[in-house]
Amino acid sequence: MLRPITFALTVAAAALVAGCGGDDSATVTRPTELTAAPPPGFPAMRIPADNAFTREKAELGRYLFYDRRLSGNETQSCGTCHRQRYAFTDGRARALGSTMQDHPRASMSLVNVGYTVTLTWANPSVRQLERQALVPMFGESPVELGLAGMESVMLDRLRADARYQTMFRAAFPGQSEPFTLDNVTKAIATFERAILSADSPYDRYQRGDRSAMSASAVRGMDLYFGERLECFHCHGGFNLTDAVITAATRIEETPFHNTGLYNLDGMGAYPAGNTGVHEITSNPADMGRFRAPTLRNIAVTAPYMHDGSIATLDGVLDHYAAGGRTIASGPNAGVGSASPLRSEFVRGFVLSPSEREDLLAFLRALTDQSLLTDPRFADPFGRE
Amino acid sequence: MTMGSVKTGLAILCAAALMQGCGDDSHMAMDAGEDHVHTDDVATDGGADAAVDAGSDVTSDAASDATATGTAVEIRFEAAVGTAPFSCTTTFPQMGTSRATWTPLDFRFYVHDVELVPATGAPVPVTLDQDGTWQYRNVALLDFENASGTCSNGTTATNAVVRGRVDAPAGTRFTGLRFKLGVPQALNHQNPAAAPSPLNLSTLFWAWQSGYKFARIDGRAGTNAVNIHIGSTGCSGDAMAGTVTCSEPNRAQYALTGFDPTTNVVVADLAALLATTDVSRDQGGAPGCMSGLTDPECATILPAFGIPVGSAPATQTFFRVR
Ligand code: HEC
Ligand code: HEC
Repeated sequence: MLRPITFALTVAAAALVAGCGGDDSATVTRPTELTAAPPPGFPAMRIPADNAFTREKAELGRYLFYDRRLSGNETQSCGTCHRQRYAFTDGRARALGSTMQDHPRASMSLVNVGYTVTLTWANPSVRQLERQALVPMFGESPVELGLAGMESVMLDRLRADARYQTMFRAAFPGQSEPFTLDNVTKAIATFERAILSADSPYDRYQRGDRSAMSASAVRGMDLYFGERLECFHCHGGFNLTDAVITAATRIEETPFHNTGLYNLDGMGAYPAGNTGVHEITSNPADMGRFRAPTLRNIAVTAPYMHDGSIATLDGVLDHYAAGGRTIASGPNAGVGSASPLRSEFVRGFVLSPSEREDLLAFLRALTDQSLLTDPRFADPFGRE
Repeated sequence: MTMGSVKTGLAILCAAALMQGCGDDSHMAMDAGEDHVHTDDVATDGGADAAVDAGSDVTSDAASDATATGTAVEIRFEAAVGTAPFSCTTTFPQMGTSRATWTPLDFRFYVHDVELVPATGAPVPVTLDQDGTWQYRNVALLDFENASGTCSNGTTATNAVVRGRVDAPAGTRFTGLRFKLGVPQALNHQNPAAAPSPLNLSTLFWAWQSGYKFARIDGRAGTNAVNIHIGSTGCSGDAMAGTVTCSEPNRAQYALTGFDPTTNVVVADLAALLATTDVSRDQGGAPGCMSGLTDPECATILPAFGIPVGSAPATQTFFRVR
């Protein structure tokens, strides 16, 4: 059985598609230029009033996103850790910064990130893409792009490039000096808002193409949206996450959950340096609370979880089936299912081998292949 | 103008009321020449934050509206390591409980809501000169590193003086100084990418906490990095909507007695700041103290700034009058 929520979405999507020109076929023409217009079935995006979307800004943002001059030692760009072929993750368990410093956490997908209410794995106060970009640029613990103290060096590098002279002026018309840090973050954020994906087999199925998903994936979808597995509680809605914000949002929700991934001390402790919202608030109740990431394109973003500690989707299912992972030995040993801080929606379940195959088939049906190769999102320098 | 003074008066009232709240007002007036303990305005009680910040807002409005009238004053600061002046081209022996040798890497901090206390009468706010570099509205950056020696990540420019004007009759004798550490709430969560100087220095951005490093005092003891980054923590809310609140604002508030701006300087003493901390090894959390309440180094460093950790009151040891 489909959940009502799924039905509603299907109907809405169908209505929308129908609305756009009376053609209710499931095929949607992909836009040919960068845009933040909502894909079929998606609500309108909330865009800051002082950074309206323009194609020129988004295109400039694409160049900046992939430009290694945005790191102190010119070895990394945003695109080094957010690679299109991996749905804008990096394929590593934990990210590696430009000065070879390990990041405590895994890189995150940037797909549909313009709809995300709180950015990064577990930070209740990083809300805007413009502001988030300052973290990899100037953060020092850990160092990512390593630009602290080098903002004018970086801007000089950009200013010296004839292409940027044209692009910055086109993106920020009428400004006598468009080479500012503020404009750099505005352009990058504008590009990020255009990284939209809604063309997976699951999306096409939702839009009415009953042949888009295999019978096995359809059974997996019913498991996913069912009360036995509860996945949809945290990974539901149009972006398959509960942590969304749209133009219509009036009452903001900023959900974070403890899935019982660790339980070091019987009280629910997570390893030092990766304690989730607790790292920001120091509130013991926030231990292990992380944002539920979107599960779109999840088959191409391994390894999984905030610290990349689960290698495969099969392993993720083991974690949830056990109602929280058990680590038998070593410094992180503990029984996650016994954590007093674990969410009540992570209760454990038994999956037959064929059900497990069905669920995996559904998770694989969440991959939007065209996203991974769409030239609009590609590295203009041809490196990443 | 009339409006301006009403606002200013309100700021003084707020500040005075707060100081009263600290409970050592009378004590303060007595022993001249010594610095005094002031609990952080907010760390103990999130609710107090609003009151303090409302005060800051009023002061900053006054600061930006006011034309440059009143008597010019200069408040001089000095960075020291015990009896030695701070410098980026030397090392400092005998630091902290393990008597380690300190290699300096950085030494900068913001102050705001500066007030002078006259021999008689209420404290007078110092309206900061809007110099376009070191001072903006009611906040000033004090910068003691000059990018030389081991302070390679710093800036060549330095600043040791807060300059402004006070609305007090010429010849008023001042005997005390009050100020707060850091960037006021009203400015702390605005977009740093578009902020004016001195709020546009990326080494003082603290993006993961959505604000600024109020103090950045970095060094090394042997190979052990000790980064002291003080700022508001436990922040949540939406910066662009202006709804960020922080459970630990960490804006320590100081009242120094025996301070006459014409003859005295405020000494910021790194040796005193680190006196009760073992700097030779990191016992956990961030290297040094990045304001984390559970970081072992913060347990001694935050109180030395006058920021209590837990319920124990904090006695600041960082600033003294000379
Ligand atoms: C060194 C690798 C690295 C680089 C370089 C990097 N990132 Fe990231 N990115 C990460 C990691 C790791 C996270 C998760 C951070 C966390 O939770 O603390 C992340 C998270 C994000 C997020 C949050 C996504 C979400 O779903 O909440 C955004 C947006 C983002 N990065 C954008 C950028 C931009 C823009 C740049 C360039 C200015 C950039 N990143 C550079 C590794 C990197
Ligand atoms: C209580 C909310 C909740 C429920 C229920 C839930 N998840 Fe999650 N999920 C999360 C959170 C939070 C994370 C990140 C946890 C972390 O990294 O510590 C996550 C992470 C994941 C990841 C890794 C994502 C990535 O980018 O690395 C996958 C895959 C996943 N969940 C699948 C599922 C499936 C399948 C189900 C149902 C069996 C499910 N989740 C149920 C909250 C939930």
